[in-house]
Amino acid sequence: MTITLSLTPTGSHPASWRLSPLPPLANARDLRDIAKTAERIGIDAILLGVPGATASDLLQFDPLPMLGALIAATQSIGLCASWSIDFSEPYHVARVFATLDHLSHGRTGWMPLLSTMPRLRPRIGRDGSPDDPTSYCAKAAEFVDITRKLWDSWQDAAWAMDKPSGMFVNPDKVAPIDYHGTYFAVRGPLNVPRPPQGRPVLLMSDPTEPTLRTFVAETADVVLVRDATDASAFKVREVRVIVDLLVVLGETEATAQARAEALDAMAPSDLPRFVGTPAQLADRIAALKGVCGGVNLLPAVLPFDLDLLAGALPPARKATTMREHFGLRRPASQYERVPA
Amino acid sequence: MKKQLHLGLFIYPAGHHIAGWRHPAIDPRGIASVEYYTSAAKAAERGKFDLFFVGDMLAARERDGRLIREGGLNNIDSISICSAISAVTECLGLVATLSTTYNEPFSIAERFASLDHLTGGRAGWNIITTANDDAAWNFGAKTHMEKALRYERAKEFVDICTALWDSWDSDALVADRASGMLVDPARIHPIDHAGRFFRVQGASELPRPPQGWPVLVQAGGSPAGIDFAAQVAETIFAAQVKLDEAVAFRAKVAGRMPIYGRDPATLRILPGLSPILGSTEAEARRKEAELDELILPAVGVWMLSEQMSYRLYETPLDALFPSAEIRATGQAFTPRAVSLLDRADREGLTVRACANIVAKSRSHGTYVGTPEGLADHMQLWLEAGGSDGFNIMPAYFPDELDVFVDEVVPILRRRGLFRTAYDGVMLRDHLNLPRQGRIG
Repeated sequence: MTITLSLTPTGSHPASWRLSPLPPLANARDLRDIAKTAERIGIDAILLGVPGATASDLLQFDPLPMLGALIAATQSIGLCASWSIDFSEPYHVARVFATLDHLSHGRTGWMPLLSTMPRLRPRIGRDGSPDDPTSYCAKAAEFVDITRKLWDSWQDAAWAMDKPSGMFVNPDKVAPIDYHGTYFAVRGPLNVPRPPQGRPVLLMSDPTEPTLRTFVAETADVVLVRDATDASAFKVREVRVIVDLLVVLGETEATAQARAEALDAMAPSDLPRFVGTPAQLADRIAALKGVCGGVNLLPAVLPFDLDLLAGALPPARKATTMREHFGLRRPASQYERVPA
Repeated sequence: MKKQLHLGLFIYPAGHHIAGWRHPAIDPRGIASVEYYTSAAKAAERGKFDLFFVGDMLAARERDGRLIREGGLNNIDSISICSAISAVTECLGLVATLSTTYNEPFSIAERFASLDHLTGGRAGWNIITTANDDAAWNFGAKTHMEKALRYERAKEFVDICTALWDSWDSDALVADRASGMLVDPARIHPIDHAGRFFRVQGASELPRPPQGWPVLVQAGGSPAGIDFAAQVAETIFAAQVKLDEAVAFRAKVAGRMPIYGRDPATLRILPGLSPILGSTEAEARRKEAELDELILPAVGVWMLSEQMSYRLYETPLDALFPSAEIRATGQAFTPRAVSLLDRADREGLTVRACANIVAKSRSHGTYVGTPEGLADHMQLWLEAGGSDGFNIMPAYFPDELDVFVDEVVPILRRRGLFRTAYDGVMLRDHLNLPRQGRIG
C-alpha cells in the first residue's frame, strides 16, 4: 500500500484552522516540519494543492514554490503538486517539473487540474460558466501528450558532459517534438535534460463523469478516488488507485468521535472520513489492500492527527523516487530507437 | 556613512564562463541537483549578499533545430530554484525571472505572492519580455512579438499584478478562531481590469505579500526597455561594461523616472560582473587563459551569432569581425550587442576574439586580477555613480564564488563599503527600498 498525505497549513477539515495551533496562512517552517514528520513516520508522498483538501478555498498558495521549499528539508519522500492546465502552457509545466525532478533526484509528481473552478474563471478573463467536459478533456489530452514528449525530447544518454571532447550534450539524442495540435503548437525540444524519473509521476483526481473517467484511466499513473468502490473503474494498464480519507483520530474511539462532532459543529465536511483510534485506522488501511493501491490521508487537524498517525502506518517501503514509492517502472523515452 | 554596495549572486549551471563545466575542479553531473544551488546560496548568505538571481530561457540552445554540442545548459526553472534555496537561508533575497509574454498575470501574481509569504518577504521578480523566435515556437507562435507590443503587454501585466497584490488590506486576514471569521470580505477589494491584452476580475486569493510587492527587477536596456524601467523597475540588472556608459545609462533611466512620478533615489542598478581572481595579477591571467583554452570555437561562434542575430558560421575565425555588415542589417540591437560592436571597431577584433568575449561572460563585464584590484574597480564604479553594486557572475561554481566571498567581501568591509550583517530579513531592507503599493 502506498500512503500519501495531503499537506495543508492547518488540516483538511474546514474547521481545522479554528482548532489547530498553526496559522491558517502557511509558513515555510511549519510546512517543512510537517513534511519531515511525514517522512519520518513512513508516508510515501506529500500531495500539495489537491482541490477540496484544505480548510478554506482562500489562502491557497501556489503549490510550486511550496514543493520547491520542501526539497532541501526532506530526503526520500515523494512530492506532488497540482497545476492547472488552464493557467499555463505545456512548455512551462514540462520545464518546471523537469527542474523539480532534477533538484529532488526524482521525487516529484504533477497533478494536472483539468478545469478552473468557476469562482476563479474571471481572474483569467472568462465568465463563470463551467467548461464543456468533452472539450477540456481533448485539451488536457493534448497538454499531457506534449508534456510527456518534451520530457522525452532528451533521451537518457543525451546529457553527455564529456569533458575531454567538450561534448556537453549529444545533439543526436535530442530532437524537436514538432507538435501541431488543435489547442497547442510546440516545437521543442525542452531546455532541461530528461528528468531523473524519465517522466515525473502523473497523478489525477477521479472526475466521476464517464467521458473524463475514460481519459483519466488512459492517462494517469496514479488516480485519486473519493470512494474505494470506484477503484475498479481504473483497473487498466499500470494505474495505481489511492483513496481519499479524512482522518479524525483519538486515543479512544469516544475521544475521536467527540473531536469529529466538535469540528462538524463549526463547519460541515463532505470528505469521506475515518473516525477512530490509530489501531482501528491500521485495520481499515489493511482492509483496503486488494481494493485499491493506497490511501491518501487528509489529517483533520494538524499537527494533531499527523502525530497520532505514526502508529497506524504499515512499515515504510524503501524508495527514493516517487515512481518507486508507487511501484511504477521508469518509462523509456518514446524517441529512443530500439536496436534492430 | 559611505555609500554602500549591493551585491547579487547570479547563479548559472556550472558557471558563467561557457567552458566552466570543463574545468578540472567542477563535477558537472551535479549542476541540476538541489545541493548545487543550496551550497551556492549558503556561500552567498555567508557573504551577506543582498540577493540570489536566477535567469530564465524558454528555448534550448540550438541552431536550426539541432542542439549545440558544446553549449552547456541554460538556467533551469527559477521559481523552483529560489523556493528550494529558501529552506537553507534566512535573509538572502530571491530573485526569479519570469516572462510577461508567455505567462498570464493572475497565476504569476499568485506565484510571487506565495514565494514572498513563504520566505517572509525575500522575493523579487526579474521581469522579462523574451525576445527570441525559438521561444515563440514553444508557445504556439511563429515569430516573437514585436518589441513595442511586448513592452506594452509587460506594463499591463505588471499593473495587474501590483493591483492584485494591493487587493487585500494589510489587516484583511482576521483569523478569529472564536468567531470563525477567517477573512473580512469588506477589507478585500476585487479589481476589474479590461485592457488590450488581459481581462482580470476579482481579488488575489492571498493576503498582501509581506513586502507589499515583491521587488520589481528588470534588465532591458533598449529605449523601450529604459522607458519600461523608468516606469516599474526598482532594481536593474544592467549590462554596461564601461564606466562612462554605465553613468550615461543611469542618467537616462533616472531622467525618465520623474515623468512617471518616481524618485530616482529609489532605483538600484547592478551591472553583471564576472571576476576571475588570483593572488597576483599573473595568477589571475593564467587562470583566465586556462579557462579560455577550454572554449571550443564552435560554441563561441554560435553564441556570437545568436547575440548579433547574424550567422557567422561560414566566416573564417581569424577574419575581422564584420561589424559594418552586421550593423547594416538595421536590427534593434541589445545594449550588450552594441557594446561589443563598438569594442570590435575600437580594438579591431577578429571573429575568434569576439566569440571568446561572448563565451567568457556573455558580454557582461569581466574583471581579471587580484581581490584588492577588484575591490578598487567596484569602489570606483560605486563612487562615480556607475552602479549601486554588482550582480556577481562567477566563472565557475563553487570555487570562484568562494574566492569572492572569502577574499573580496572582507576588503569591501574594511573599506566601509559593504555590510557586515543583515539589517532586516526582507529584500527591500537589504536594497534599502521603500515598501510599495497601497497602504491600508
